[in-house]
Amino acid sequence: MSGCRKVVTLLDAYADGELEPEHVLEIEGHLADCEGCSARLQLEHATRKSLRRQVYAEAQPSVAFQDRILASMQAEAEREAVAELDSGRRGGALSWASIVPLAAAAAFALLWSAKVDHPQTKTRTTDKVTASAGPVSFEQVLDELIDRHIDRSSPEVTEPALLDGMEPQVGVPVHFPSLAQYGARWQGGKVVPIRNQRAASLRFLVDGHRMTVYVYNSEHFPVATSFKRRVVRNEPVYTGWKRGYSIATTDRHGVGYAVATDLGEDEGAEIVASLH
Amino acid sequence: MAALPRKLSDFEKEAMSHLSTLLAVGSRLTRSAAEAEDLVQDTLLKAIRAREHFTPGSNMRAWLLRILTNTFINKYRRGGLERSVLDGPDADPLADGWIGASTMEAMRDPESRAMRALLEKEIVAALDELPEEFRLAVVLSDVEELSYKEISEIMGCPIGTVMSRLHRGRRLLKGRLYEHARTLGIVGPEESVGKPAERDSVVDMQSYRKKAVSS
Repeated sequence: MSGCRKVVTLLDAYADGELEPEHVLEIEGHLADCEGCSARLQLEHATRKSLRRQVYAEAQPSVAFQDRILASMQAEAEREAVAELDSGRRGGALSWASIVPLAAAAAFALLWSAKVDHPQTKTRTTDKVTASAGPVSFEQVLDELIDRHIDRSSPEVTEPALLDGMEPQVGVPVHFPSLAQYGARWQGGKVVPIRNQRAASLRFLVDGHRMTVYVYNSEHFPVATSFKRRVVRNEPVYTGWKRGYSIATTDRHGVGYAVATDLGEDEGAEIVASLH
Repeated sequence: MAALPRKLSDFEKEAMSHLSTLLAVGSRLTRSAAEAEDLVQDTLLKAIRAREHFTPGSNMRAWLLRILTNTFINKYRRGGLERSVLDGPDADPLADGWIGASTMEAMRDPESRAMRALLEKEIVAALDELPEEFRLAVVLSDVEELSYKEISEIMGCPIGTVMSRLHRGRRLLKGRLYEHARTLGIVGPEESVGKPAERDSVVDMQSYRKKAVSS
């Protein structure tokens, strides 16, 4: 047993296959003679085998989870496609900018309006039921609204007066909503892609809860049929829950508004109704 | 405007093949099924966004596990992994020779070459009681069978630190299992030899803390 102390210090590395060859011979010589160290090594192997088995047995990915991952990959691919399109457009605008700086803003706006108009004209001339892209389900839109709400990336616009600049991208007027009466603290906004369309995402903090107000062209998104319809301030509002977040939506003159928060259904409904 | 279903890219397919691994390791890091699923989803999305930094043909499993670990630390542990509170000298019931070979034999099942079924059931609970940095090292080595070098890259620490975390983590884990074996009557106190006074103070963290304070 005299060498046991030393062997014990090397046994881990030996079992891990990371021991230098000169020590391997030494250890194996000792193991052949020492019942205690040999039992220790056997127990080490047994522990690992049980660990592997049980750790995997307790965490098998469910079918629902696999679907969720595939859906998030799909959404990511769509976002990337939109971003690529954007950078292509922007590249054009930038090269213009280097030649005629003063015309750059106008050129940019033109490109954007061309881009925004195109799919709209298409929808108008195409029978909606037979549109080849297929219908967008409200559930998918909801998931993206929540994904975007959870996302912690930093805002692009923090100056409220500059929100109007989102209009050409979103396709509807975007104004800074005054939510001070609800104790909402302004965090910042950005334009986000939702199901290949763009929405303005305006981030607030209310009582320490995060809240996102979305402004979008309501023509692009289906109505919240699965949601509860209620009337707040004489306006129809649809509210419901998904993944622990309350979502409240409403529509006014073709501009859609949605509020995503973990505050609560009533709070979301009240805030979304005030956006009119 | 929903996009048509699309085929997965090769990168996505390979990443998906590690879903079980990510969920298994994520579950032991978070110790929560729901949090583990969120963590794995975040990890895969980050991996897809960073796919240009992945060298095709290199070990994607280790690369994904590094993203998983960093995501966990950033999301749940702003100051890095939960540190071990075990600073004092700690006795090792198995290495110090006061648990005999026969006791260690009794903890195993000779046929399956694994732990006795009753102990195996307790093993994940015992693992979850380890401090995070020990727990992660043990999972990456004993479950995922990664090399010390790969683990040091994932955990962002030197190889020597990996080895000491592994050593202490495994020792604590086996101490826990030994306690269970005694509670379940799989091994009796009469089977151990020597140092009875220290026997009760070795395995759990509470005792460690008390011991460190009193000594």
